[in-house]
Amino acid sequence: MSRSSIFSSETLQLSGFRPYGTIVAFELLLVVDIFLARREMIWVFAQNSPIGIVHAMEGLVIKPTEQVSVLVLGNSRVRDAIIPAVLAEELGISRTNVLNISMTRGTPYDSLTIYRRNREKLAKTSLLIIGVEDFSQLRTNIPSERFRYFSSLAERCEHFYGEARASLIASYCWRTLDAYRSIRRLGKQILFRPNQRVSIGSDGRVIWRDNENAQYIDNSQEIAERIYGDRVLKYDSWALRELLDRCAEDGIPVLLYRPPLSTASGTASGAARSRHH
Amino acid sequence: MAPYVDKVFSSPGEHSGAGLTLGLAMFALQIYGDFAGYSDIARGVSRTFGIELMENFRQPYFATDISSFWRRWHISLSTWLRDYLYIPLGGNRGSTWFVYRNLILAMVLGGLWHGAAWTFVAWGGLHGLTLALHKAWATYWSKSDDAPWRKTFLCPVNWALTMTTVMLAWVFFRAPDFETAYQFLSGLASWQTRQTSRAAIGAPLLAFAGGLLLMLGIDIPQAVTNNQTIMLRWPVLLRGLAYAALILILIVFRSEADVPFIYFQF
Repeated sequence: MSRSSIFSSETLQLSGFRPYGTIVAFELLLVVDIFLARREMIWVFAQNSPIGIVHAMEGLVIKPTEQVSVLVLGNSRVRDAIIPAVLAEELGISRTNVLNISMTRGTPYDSLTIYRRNREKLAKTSLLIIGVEDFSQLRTNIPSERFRYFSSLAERCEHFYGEARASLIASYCWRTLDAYRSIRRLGKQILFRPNQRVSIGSDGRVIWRDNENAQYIDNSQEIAERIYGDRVLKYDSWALRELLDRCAEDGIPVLLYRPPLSTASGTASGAARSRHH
Repeated sequence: MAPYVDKVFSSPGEHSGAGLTLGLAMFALQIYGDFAGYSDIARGVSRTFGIELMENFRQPYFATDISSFWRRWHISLSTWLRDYLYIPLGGNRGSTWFVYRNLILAMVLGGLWHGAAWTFVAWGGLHGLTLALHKAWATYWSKSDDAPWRKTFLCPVNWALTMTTVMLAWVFFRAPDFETAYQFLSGLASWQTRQTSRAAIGAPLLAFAGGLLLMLGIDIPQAVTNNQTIMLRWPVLLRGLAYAALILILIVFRSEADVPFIYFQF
């Protein structure tokens, strides 16, 4: 090579096309996908995770309840605002009949998912309170971890566009792409915090905060737009509409509740009481 | 690794000596993986068009002297610096001090090639200075008795000294300004201890260990056999396992944020 040149005179001597290693790799990745990424255990092992919490709440709250009188679904503001013990006392019903299964970063889609998965039991609810907020109706082109776990292929195609849609379709086929956070979390959980479990507090609420994603939690539309930029499409309440349709089919009265910044529990319990009676 | 490195270099005063060392070691791995990977992608893409690009990295962290490091690191830049700066400046011709001046000047300009910042000048200058020192040392060494046992004994010492120099120089390369670099270096020197949770230090440590193992797993066979494509001669099962593992690592440990190539900016 004369003088410096980015072109090399040393050429790699590769003899022909040998795809055998690639084929073995493909087979191994298939094994990982079938026996790891598609196993529910991977997703729910860490209770302190967006999907683990849904399973934990179903097991801890919904499953043991015989009769659901009031069901509350929403995000952490709704969880913090409506205390089952207080609401049950105000309504004069048993505390175990009031369930608040709102969760951090809970969206209308998550509420719909919980309702769909437990419809047999929840369809007998006397009143459903759904937390609604402006920002939770913002349709962004960023699928949440829960959406990646629970959504069908049709939902993936219908509610996302462009790169996000392509990624969702690809990850529907190759589940490892969806499960990467869960696999990573599983390792972390085993190595660093093996005993972190979700529990129910004395007031009937599930004690859990998504500290892992704390930096993304924000309630204001302005900040959501700043974070998501042009990935914010428009206000679109498709999940909420679908949930309301199902409730209408099941004949459940629904209260749409927007938690104010203060005195939230009083307002909610007052509203719930009037509707309940 | 990138988020931890960013954290350590954005506020070095808030980290312990061990945390800073880990952050620096991670940056060394990050920039090597980043740039060597970037170069390999470029080589691979070019090859598909029938263009053969030169090798840009040859196990630089196995170098046992700074001169060898520069024959292994960013080879395209170092050969360019040699051919278009060092040699036109006079190269090895002239007095000893003149040669040292040429070395330092070429490296300072090489530092400036990375960006118009004094930190890059310091980085280049530090490398130039150590190259000059090494040249002086090698001149002295070549006159003395070059017994094989001395070479064997000094090899790990030389490697440690070379890596210490390279690592310290990385501080100037990565730090956004001299104040941060000073804070980082004084943090390393004072070696303060801080209470950190197991997860806070454990996760980056694990990431570093994983990255190091990956680097060694690729570089050692290449260095031992002096063959950059040795992986293609591995048994099919081992090769498949390596490919699958690399793809899984890329998927599972991908960053949530967009992390551009470091050398993208240069």
